[in-house]
Amino acid sequence: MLAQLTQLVKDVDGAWAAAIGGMDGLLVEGHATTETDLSLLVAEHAGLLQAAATVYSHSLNVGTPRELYLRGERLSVYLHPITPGYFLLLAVDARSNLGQARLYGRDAARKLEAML
Amino acid sequence: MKLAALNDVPGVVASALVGPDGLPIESYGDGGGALAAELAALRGSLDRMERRLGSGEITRLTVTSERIEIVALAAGKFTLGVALVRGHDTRSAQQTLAKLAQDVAALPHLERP
Repeated sequence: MLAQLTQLVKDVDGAWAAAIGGMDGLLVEGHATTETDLSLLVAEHAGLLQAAATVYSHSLNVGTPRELYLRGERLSVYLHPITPGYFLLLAVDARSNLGQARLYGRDAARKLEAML
Repeated sequence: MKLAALNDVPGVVASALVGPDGLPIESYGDGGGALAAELAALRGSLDRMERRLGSGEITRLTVTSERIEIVALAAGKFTLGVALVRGHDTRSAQQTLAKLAQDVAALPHLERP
């Protein structure tokens, strides 16, 4: 799984970290090119993805979210559910290639699904 | 629907219109999304080449691989590109791209830091 995450960070322009997180907020595996607390990133984004899933599934009744992208002033994150219990997190900088993040993130999630 | 004219060009397997963020504004074909993302990445490299070589703006890019040929044009901050099966004449695609580039350059620019 680490090899998939490392390759994803290499393939997406502007990416600096990739991780697999559980919907319970725990870090399963991660790779980062900078000093960063991946456990905190995973824990906080698991909550956001869980909130989005609750709204989509229950309040709006439109099924589960397929992907979630958040762009902040100093942090942007792309989230892609792998299975109902796990998700892929890709952290990118402000000038990243979102097309690559979506395509290659989805591809990595498919490959990781078979390993989880 | 700006790229629809490219669908009639012989040999075309994918086409894309993309901005600097790599998200396709419009794409056709199975590989259209990937073509958009990689054209945006190439465009980033070309911007550096222009600056470092002092070449002036690079407006056209052609790539030949084992199976396909890619022709791409820069139109302002946007990039238009088409992938053709290798061996097809690319002139018709280049002419169509040149016409489309004039429309595309007038699109509103995306927010980038």
